[in-house]
Amino acid sequence: MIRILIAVLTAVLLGPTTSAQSAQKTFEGASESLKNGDYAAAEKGFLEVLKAEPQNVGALGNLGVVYSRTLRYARAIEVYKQALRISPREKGILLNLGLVYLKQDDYEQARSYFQRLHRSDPRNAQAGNLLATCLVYGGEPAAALELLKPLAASHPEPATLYLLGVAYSRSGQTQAGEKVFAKLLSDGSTKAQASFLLGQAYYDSARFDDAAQAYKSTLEVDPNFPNVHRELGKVYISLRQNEQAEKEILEALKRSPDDPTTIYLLGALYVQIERYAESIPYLEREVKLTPDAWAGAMFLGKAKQKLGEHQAAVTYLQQAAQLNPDEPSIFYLLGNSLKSLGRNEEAKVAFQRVSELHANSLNREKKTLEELHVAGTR
Amino acid sequence: MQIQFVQRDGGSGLVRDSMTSGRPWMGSLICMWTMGALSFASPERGSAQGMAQGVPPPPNAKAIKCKDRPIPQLVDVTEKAGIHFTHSSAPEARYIVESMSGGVLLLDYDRDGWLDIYFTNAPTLEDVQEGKKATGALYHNNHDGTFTDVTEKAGVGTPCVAMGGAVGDYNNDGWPDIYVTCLGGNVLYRNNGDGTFTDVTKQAGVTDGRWSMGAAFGDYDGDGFVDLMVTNYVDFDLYHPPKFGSGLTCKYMGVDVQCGPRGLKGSGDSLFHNNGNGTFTDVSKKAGVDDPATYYGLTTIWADFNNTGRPDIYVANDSTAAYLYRNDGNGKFTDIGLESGTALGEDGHEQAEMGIAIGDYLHTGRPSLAVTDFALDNTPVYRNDGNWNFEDVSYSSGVGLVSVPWVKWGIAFVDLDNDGWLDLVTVTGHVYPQVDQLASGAKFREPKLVQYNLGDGTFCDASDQSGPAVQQPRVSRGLAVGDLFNDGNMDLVVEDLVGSPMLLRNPGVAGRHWVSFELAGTKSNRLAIGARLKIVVGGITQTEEIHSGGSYLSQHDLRVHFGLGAATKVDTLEVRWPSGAIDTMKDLPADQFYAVLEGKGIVPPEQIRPHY
Repeated sequence: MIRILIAVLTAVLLGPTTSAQSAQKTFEGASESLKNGDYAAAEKGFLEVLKAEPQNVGALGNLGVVYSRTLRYARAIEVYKQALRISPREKGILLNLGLVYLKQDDYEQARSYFQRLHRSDPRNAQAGNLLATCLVYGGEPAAALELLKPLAASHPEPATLYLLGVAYSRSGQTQAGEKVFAKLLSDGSTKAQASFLLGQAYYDSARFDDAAQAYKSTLEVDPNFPNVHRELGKVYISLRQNEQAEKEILEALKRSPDDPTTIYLLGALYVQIERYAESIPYLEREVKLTPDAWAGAMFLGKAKQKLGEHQAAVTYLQQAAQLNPDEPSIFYLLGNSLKSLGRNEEAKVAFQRVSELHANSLNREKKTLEELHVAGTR
Repeated sequence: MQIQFVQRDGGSGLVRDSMTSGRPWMGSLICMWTMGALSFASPERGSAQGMAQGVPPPPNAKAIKCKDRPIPQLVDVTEKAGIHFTHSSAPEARYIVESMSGGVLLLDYDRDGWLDIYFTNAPTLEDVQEGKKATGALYHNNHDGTFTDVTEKAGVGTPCVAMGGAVGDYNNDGWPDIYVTCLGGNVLYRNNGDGTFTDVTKQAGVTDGRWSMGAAFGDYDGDGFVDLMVTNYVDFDLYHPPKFGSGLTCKYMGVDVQCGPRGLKGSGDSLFHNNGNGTFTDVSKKAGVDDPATYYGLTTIWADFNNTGRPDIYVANDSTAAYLYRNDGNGKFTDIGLESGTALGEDGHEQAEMGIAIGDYLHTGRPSLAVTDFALDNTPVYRNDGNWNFEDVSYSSGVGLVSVPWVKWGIAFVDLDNDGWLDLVTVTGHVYPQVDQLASGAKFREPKLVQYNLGDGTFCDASDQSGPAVQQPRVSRGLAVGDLFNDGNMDLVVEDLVGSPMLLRNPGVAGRHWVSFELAGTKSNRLAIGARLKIVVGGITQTEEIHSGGSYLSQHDLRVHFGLGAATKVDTLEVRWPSGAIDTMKDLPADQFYAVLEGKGIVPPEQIRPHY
């Protein structure tokens, strides 16, 4: 009887400690797996930890990293937000969450997290750069300039200078922008990098011939500079030089055969130039690799639509719509495929969404111009 | 439980184009490229007017050059004709209101059987603020190739800050009236029948008062009186205009330009029901055409798209989706623009729709649409496939590729060579004088486009084969087509924003025949707007409708012209009147002007025209 009592008491007193030690061990194992790129094992491990300790911010955060690395952004966002509810000021979570939004070009969402990060540590250059990025690409170059000027003075790194140059260009101060880019280029140790950045800046300003030149300069300095063939391919697409675009993207694919972005680019290019059948394998692959990326699903849907496979088109377009409910083109294409299938009521709903989104976009623009106190309306 | 170290996701492997192997962190670069792939081929994202993201031409886009066919040489006879009108212009066009005027109206105001011309005019913003007006002009056709300025006598010189207009006989007295669209109050000029006009806007109740652009008369309820559709553009304060070059929507390729229309507040549209007693009632909301989304309305036109016998409405909206309002027959309309495929460009991108051409260019009996838009975007050609389905055949028809570089305005389907197939004419001219500074090669002044129908659904380009006047770079806006010289060939009147207009005389093609019909309703509205004519000539059927408005804020000849090729007679003419009545006539010799009276058939012209 006593033995049983002692056993029970031991279990009661030591139980939690043993279980905590077990969770710790699992956590460490999962972290090691994450470090080694074994994401499946890492995911399993962190989920196990969370079963035992649902409030474990570290496990939530690292699980978010796993999801992010495996391009499951929606899930990453979910667990990061969970972590933030428990520990709202956790800088690592704020950063990671912001980055996940940024990866999907959701500058508005990303900005709020970087803003919090920047507020808690105004001297953190990384946070400053990320916030500035969101401001620049979210249509607020003036606000970005306010942030970037002192940052560039204290941390004149290429990324910061580049952002500053873009912010100047986007706010109409072309000369100041050119000056910053010139400074970037003049630093010999970062010539390839600087040319690459310049290419990006030119592309961003729709100066595609200049962008092409800048990327070619990058290749001259460093033929193995990462991603330059891909970026050059994008420029050629914008220049409507489809043959050259295809050539560059295929070259990029040779070098990075598993890069989802490049795979997507090629697939989308083929759709754009009406080589629908050829686009399918690339886009299908891209959709598998990046299940949370809407554009691949959209282009795949379009390709299927053009090939007359409307049922398949609807499936992919609905997928795209779920991933990005704010892109009018998805709903327009979806509406057309539904119409082709005789599903007219559903088509109407899709078209209604197109109208709503257009109206929202119009209203946002009006608001922006009004806020700049430049809209002279009654 | 201690909080474990959270691995930062900001380093390598985070983003697709991040650096590995120790290069400096370029996390910011993940923002450089969007997965919003529609933008990756368009250089125009974020630009001002013409926000439309043009989809690049597909590799199979055709540009067919006309060859082995006679091409009429269009001759500029403006000076010779005695036309001395000049449109007011602001050299820098710092405000959108200074770029949009220029509709031109053709009408036989004195019912002498010869087309007269009305040019609209608008003062610059500076002039408005100083209380100065700009004078339009009415030119009377002297029947000998010349015209006389009768503006003052007619009393139609300075209606307002005028944009364009439409012609219709609102009181069915046989005298065509003019409705002028304006910023700040439109004007309805009642034709008094004695060479003068009276401003009856207030008593008619059709002022509107916003910035009106397009207008078109049409009898939507079949009561025999034409109603009036009016579109409105931007909610613009002439005394507090938006600041030049400020904000994203005031930039074009990095250069400061006038703001808008995107970013500016739009205005809804109006439908005025004709009460039959000289007054109108605003039924916009009740009818469902008031445009609560306040898109930027430009040209509008009535047409029976689906052969229901009821006119529908198409509204070209700038940088926003177009409307195709189906007439439901009970005083109500339903917008089916998106469902029909006529509202947006491919992939659902908004286009800067400005002018409308309508015509049965395929001989299917169904009117198709061609709509002008901005540079780097193609002219959509919405082929009417029936049952409210339209397919954009812009590139496969050969129209699109040629149109891409230009900012396009007035447009018309017109049989220039009288071969029985509707050709396509487009007038162009940029919005921003500032483009001349750009390295892109775009110019403020642009040439016109002339494309001939090959009869198989495609058009060949004869822009550089139609005479030097067509190639002359200009800043054009309105285009109206009509037989100005009563010689059986359709001529062109082009109003330019900057400088003088152009009268292009069409010499036609020798040996080709034609026929022209002037209609008068009895139960139907007097000018027979909305009547549908169908001719059969040697087994080939051509169809046409009488339209008010169209092109860019302009008005074509209300007579209906058909080219007949080598045929010397019309086998059958069938007229479906707006009242629903049908008149049929047979064996009409070619090369003649016919007057057709509802219920009576061919009659002497005096029978359908009132006299002073």
